Amino acid sequence: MIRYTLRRVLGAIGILLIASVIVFALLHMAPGDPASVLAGPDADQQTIAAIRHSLGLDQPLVSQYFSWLGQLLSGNLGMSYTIHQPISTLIGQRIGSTLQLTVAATLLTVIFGVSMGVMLATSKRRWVTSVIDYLGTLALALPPFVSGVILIFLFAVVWKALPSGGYASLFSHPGDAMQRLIMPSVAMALPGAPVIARLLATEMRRVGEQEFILTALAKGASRRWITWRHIVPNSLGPAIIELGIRIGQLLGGAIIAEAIFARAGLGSLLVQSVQNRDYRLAQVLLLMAIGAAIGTQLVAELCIAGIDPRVRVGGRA
Amino acid sequence: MQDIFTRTVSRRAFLGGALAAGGLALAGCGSSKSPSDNPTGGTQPSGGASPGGGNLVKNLRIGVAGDLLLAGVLRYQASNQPLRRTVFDYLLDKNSDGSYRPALATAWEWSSDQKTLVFTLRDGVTFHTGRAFGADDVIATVQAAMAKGSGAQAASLLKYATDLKKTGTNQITATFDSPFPAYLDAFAMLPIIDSQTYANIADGKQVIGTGPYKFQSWTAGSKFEMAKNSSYWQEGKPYFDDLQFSIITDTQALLAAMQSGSLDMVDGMVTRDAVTLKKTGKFTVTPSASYDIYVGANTKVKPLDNVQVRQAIAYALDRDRIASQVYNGLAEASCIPWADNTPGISKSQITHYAYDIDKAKALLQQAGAAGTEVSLSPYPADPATSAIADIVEYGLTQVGFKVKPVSYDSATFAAHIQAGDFPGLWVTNVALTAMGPVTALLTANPLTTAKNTENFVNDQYTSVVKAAVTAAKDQQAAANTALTDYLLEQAFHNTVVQGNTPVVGVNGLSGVTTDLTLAVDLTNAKLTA
Repeated sequence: MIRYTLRRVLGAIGILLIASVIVFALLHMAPGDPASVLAGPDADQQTIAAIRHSLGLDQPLVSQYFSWLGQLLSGNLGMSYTIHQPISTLIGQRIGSTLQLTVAATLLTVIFGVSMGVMLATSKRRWVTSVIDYLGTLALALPPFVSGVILIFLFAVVWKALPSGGYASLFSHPGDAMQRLIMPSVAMALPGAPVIARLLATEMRRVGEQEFILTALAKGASRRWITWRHIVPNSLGPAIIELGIRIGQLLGGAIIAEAIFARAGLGSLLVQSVQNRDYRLAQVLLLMAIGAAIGTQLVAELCIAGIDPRVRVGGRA
Repeated sequence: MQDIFTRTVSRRAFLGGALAAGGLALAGCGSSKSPSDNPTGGTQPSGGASPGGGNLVKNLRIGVAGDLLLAGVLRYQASNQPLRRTVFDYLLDKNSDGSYRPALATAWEWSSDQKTLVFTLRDGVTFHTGRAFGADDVIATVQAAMAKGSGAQAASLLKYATDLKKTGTNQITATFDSPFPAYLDAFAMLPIIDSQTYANIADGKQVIGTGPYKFQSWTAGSKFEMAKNSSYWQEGKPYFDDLQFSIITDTQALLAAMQSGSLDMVDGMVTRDAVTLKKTGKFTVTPSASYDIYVGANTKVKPLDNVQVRQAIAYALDRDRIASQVYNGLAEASCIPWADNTPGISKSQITHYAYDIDKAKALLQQAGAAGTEVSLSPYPADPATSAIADIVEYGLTQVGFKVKPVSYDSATFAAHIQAGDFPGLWVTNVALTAMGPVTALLTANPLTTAKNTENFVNDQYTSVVKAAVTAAKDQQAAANTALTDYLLEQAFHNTVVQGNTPVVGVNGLSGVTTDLTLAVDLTNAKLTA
């Protein structure tokens, strides 16, 4: 397991390094730069050039890349070009909102997804599976920008039961924070839950036909015990991988949900930094998003390897 | 094969689970009004009674569509508008008739030869730090505006003075080689900064001015807050204890926040949404000063280098439709960049290019450019320009152009405005035309003479602009007429409407005004619950 883990971690670091080059190059290839944003719409080319020089943006790109990488490796994320604050401070201000939304949306995805998946796989009543199936299809067809607008219209505008958006700290205003979390987390969980449910249900049906399950049945074990002790744990693999991908995306910033629900998280900070061509900030945030995706995927793979020894053996082979 | 899944979910268990989930959600909902009901997580305390009855609300919740860019506080830029008249004051203010009124300067006097201008500064004004405001701060502000890289539009006017110096404790004097009356415009668009703390302004740690509200905090991309300046030089004002600004970049979210009661006011709402709110009867809409919304043409690019082609485009612009459909009556169709009350402007100039497809076709035929392709790019930060672009595209297609829509993000669009390298046509605004022709001609990239976004640079244009800029008061109207006629004839900068940026407030909000730089003035604003 240690060798397996080490190999995966080294691979992740390599991917991050390659990603840093791609992210840096792509952002610098886009037209415009922070100097033109800082100079304002009516600035002349001399003004823009003066700002570009003061920011060091007239240096060769290779030298700018290694300077940035060296800074990152020394633990300094640098300063934002346009906001003029340390990037670590900006991330610190936003990460609470992103973590809140990630945890809440993931919990709802797991609760809805696993409940629906187990019911789909175990229920003998056709109307139950049909209802779950239809609801799942409906939820799957509702991306957050659609469900978000519907939720806001109903709960904030018509019934005024929830605030339309915003963010509050769970520590200082727990009630307020929960209210502001309900709609975005539901909107984020809706399309994910049916995917988890279907993956789980399909896998449960496959595992249910395995010999060790039949043996357990023959030994007289209760069906409930067999389901939750043997079938569900052995069926979680694909769902965990899917969940890992979704958590990685959420940690990188739920850009659309943050915009619709006016939540100042990492996603909206990333959009702002790209719009302002704030290279340093955008580079760090993109790298963080990639790191989060790789990290959660790694954790998901390690979880599966922990649950299923065949994965570890396969990985060594 | 035996079916292992014989356990079924009982109806009771299913309904029980659903009820539990519903109960949990309702417990989470509770009353959305408590403890707070705004996107910043702040509170809405009640206040004292207003003279006209009802309670004066002490906390105003404002939605803005963009974040601050504090390093650029000295220049006109939409993102810094919420600061310009709250935290800061100008030296003087400009009225829509072209006259000025006192602010931090109580008086100003030109010499008889119009080559010396003396400002008398207001006594007893203090910065938010408690330090007294004085002549040194005005000179520091001018120096900061004129510094390399400031990008402040006012610098283009300030440079006309050969000298600016302190000539008394509360007096400064500007001298000129030749008369330049528009110099005053610079001080009606330049926030006066605190010379001692300006170096710390960019990160929001010390945003110090003399204005009615003190800058308290800023969470980039999320919110910023201001508190009442109890020592404000206008006695008894302002009326709010706190201003809470929520940065909501999504137009839908901004609309929903107003509709749900999470905000009391929005500065910079898109016109379409402002009209939607106004129709409910629960909100009031205050239009800003009018400014130029135009279709620009890069005259370096074929076929736009041909004046007949540009005139054909001018005739293909259905301005009335744009005013009614896109702005719902909040804008006026116009062919000229300046307000219709500008001296020397006639009705025939305002309506010069009436929508006329036949005339446009004939001009295009004469130019031998029928069927040629032109690109068209709307300004991405304003949804109204996309709607305008649709109407423009329809008209151009009717005339015989092949229109190629090209989209940019905000930063790329701004870079094209600066560099003047659009591949064809574009739609955007020049907000500073509200200040009058001279300021717009000297400061706005699309209209300046030495280099402009349309790449329309020639001696005649320079000459008519120079005549308008340097004209004495009695010659101003004639110079404006000649300049406007030339702009209309050359059709490189085709104004479509005089638009505005509406401020939307809940019923009960009064005293909100905007100045000619489109900045919202909340000095006299009150909200009665």
